Amino acid sequence: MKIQLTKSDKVFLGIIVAGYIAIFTYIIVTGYQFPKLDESVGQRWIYQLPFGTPPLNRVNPMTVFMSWAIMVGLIAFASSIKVFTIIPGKKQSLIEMLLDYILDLTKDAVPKEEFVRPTFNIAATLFLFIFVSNIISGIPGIQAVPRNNGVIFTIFEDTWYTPTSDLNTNATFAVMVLIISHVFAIKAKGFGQWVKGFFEPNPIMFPMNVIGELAKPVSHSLRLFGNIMGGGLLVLIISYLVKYFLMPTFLWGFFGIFVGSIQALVFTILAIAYIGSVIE
Amino acid sequence: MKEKKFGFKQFGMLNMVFQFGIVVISNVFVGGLIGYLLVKYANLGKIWLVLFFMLGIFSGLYQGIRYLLKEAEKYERNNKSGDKRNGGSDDSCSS
Repeated sequence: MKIQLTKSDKVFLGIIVAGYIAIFTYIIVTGYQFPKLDESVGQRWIYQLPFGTPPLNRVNPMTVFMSWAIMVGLIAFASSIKVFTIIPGKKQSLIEMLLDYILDLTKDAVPKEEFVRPTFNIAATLFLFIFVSNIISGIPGIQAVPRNNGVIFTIFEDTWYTPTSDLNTNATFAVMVLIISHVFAIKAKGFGQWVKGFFEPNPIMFPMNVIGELAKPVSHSLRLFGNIMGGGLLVLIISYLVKYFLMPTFLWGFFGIFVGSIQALVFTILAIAYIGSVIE
Repeated sequence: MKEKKFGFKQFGMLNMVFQFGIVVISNVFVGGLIGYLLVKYANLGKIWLVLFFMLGIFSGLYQGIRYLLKEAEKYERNNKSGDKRNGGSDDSCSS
């Protein structure tokens, strides 16, 4: 197989090679020592509110800021597509492609016609928020790192802080999906039938059905949290091991963009499946 | 002989195995958690922790198998609809 490179490819590769040579030369000439792996890896900026009891009055301000930033970004993006046309533009195509797929999934999973639209609204909102949150965990940006009883902000040292790497965000979404699914179930089947559903196939199974329902948000939220948080930690640790030479870009791409978009889709599919399974 | 390509369907199957594990573990976790909370806050004997842990294990296996059966049903339904579209020429249903 013969590799054919265009002129711009050669220039691009040349710049990368020159960069590596420059870094190696700098390390050898100056005898640069890499700092030790920071003890604050995996630590979060926690703010203790002046009111409330200890476990409940602690917030992670970065989760709050970034959640709002993502929501504002999404609203700005949505409002920038002012008119939907028959021949779509780039933004409209992107949105239509993503949301059409989710609508198809919803139609397949939700048996009752009147619940398709509300379920789609919830699933699409969740998908867009989680998708954007996960994607920014593959792009270098601002991070807050706790150090020496304070907090410092780093720019382009690590990826953007992503709200989905905080279990509170994911648990909120998962509990919300659980509550919504049961509200829909009560509306669809009636209260009596809904209660009867916990005693099927026979009354002995009641505790198991209850535990099964309670386990849904646990698995739902921990899966997303584990993937995003674990991905972030792995990137830091592996990058430290190879001294930040080659890996971060590849790892950010893999954990941030590839795993992130898959997990966003998985979370959405599971939300649709949970709602659909309780309604039927 | 035509080689079978590794497609997205195989990812779906891998996900099914993964999901089974997650369902079982999360049920055991919830069962254990309920038992622990009962022991800690309702001042019940430690036997309740064991009981709820066992209940979690049974529940996990029950929910996991129910999930697998549902997936198998979906797989067969998809195969049947694929058969109809191909005019019955697809032999993947027989496996």
